[in-house]
Amino acid sequence: MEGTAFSIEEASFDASLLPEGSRTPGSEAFHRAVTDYFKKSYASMGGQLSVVFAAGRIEVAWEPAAPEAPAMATIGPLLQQRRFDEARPLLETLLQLQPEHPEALYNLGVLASEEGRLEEARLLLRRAVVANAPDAHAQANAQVALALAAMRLGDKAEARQALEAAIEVEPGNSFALRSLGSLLVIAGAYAAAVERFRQALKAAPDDLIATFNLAQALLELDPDEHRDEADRLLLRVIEAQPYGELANKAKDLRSSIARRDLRADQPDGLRQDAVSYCLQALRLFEGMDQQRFLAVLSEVGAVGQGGLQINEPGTSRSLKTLPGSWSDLALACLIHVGMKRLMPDEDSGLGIGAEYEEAVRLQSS
Amino acid sequence: MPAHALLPAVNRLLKQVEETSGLPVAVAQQSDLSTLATLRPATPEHQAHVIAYRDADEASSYHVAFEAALLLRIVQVPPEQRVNLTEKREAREKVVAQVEKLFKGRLGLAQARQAGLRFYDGLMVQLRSMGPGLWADRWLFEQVPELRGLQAAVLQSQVQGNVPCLNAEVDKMSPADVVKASRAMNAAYAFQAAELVGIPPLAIPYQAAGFEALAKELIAITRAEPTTADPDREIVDGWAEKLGLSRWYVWKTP
Repeated sequence: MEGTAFSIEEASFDASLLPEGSRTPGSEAFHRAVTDYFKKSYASMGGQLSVVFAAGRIEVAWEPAAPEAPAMATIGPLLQQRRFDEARPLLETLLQLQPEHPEALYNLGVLASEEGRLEEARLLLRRAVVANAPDAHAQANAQVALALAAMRLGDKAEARQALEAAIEVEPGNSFALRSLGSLLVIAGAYAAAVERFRQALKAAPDDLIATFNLAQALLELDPDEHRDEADRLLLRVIEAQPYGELANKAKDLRSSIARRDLRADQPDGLRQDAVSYCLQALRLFEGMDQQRFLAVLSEVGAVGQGGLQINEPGTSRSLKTLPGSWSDLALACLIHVGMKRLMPDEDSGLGIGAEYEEAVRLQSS
Repeated sequence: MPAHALLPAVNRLLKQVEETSGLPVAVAQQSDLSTLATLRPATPEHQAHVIAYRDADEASSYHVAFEAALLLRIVQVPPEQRVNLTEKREAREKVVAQVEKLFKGRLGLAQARQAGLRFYDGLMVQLRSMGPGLWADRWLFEQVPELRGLQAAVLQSQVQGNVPCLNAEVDKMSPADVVKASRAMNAAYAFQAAELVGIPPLAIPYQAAGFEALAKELIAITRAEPTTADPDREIVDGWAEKLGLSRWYVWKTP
């Protein structure tokens, strides 16, 4: 209910509403009773009541209490628990009452961005950047969120601007550094991207995504010059997190390095040592019973998970399921040949498909 | 706000009016209206009902619904029994005379006359519209619950807007009969609004000013079962009797 103000003559007041003995207009008892009447009448509404007696009139004014803003102490846990449907109305109420509330603007902006309401997100986050100016970290976060919303809208210019602004206020913001690096990769600015990824890793050495991204950018920049560093970075990712999407990506990238390595000396022809190893594997598996074959493949596959240095001369490994020593290239060929036996239409991704075909041709001739 | 932007519930109501009356309803915005909405029922010369609303805002959906509800009542009165509330010269001149006396020495006769006519006309409009309006608000509350949110806002706004009528200054500037009747009708509005919206304090000013009993009698008249083919006329006549205004007007066929 909105505030209200009115006046009535004391003589017009309905005296039957008052206790006996206080019904004479103008008397103190009347004034007290009338005041009590109005207090009781508006009690359920809270707010502020004023009852004034002047020149035979009763002047009444009532204003509602200012609504209490929901506190971030209440909203914060809901956000952390991802109870967004509960948090959103509280944030919206808070923003209505305090239109420049920094946290409300930021969180509503992030929610809108996640829910695909990108223009709304962008507007909210632009305001969040301004509202969070006194707090460098909060402002940097708002800039990063704005960058993400802008990216989702396809506005790379605003995204880059926002990320650079975030880094300016918070040079050690690893997420901003990493995000800017990714943006630079998209733009084809690999050298600048590498620099940003290095900065991100300096700020957060255990950031595996930044580690992977740096490896990827290095290979884009110059695969020959940066091959070793990239491979080391990818191995670090796989060792830290052997399973999952990031590990799979890292392994794929290492395989591409291996393929490149394989072609390095013989870019146009077959690698004869690989042909020999594939032929050896074909003959080995030909006479082997299925159970042993699967055991060998399982062991070799497990070794291969950790990465094979197929171009490193002198690598030598022992296996439990096969006698002798095996170079990494020989193991790669065992994996490929074994996989082809199980799934003829699949490729191992090790880049020795052509050598395998040659070995098959040689075996059947 | 074109018709297609009206709330679905309002569109359904308009369709009901069209089906009942057999005539189309046109809804249009008219920003120069002096009231929030007006209703022009169809005539033999103009075979369409027209509802005009003033403001292009969300509340206009409710104002259109309100006029549609009134129209639904009107179209159910047999055409030959439809009448218009028309001024009665003696009552009108009595108000004019009271205003001339009230403002003697402060206003010229012509200005006082104009003021008097406005007081009389204003009271007649209030008498003709407020009682049936209370019926329409209650009907909408019961039959179109989707509009309750809007209705609550509109009713509260109207009640708040009417409260200054209680101020003592008004007594010095208006004929006593006009003020008393107008306040009683506003009180009826406030008490019903308080009930529908669920905020009893909306009616406190009128309770304090001693209008509760009369307001509730007026409300009861709007809720009584009609006994004639023109329920709105019954309400107006019932209110007029309670307010001492029975001789202030006549009913005439258009």
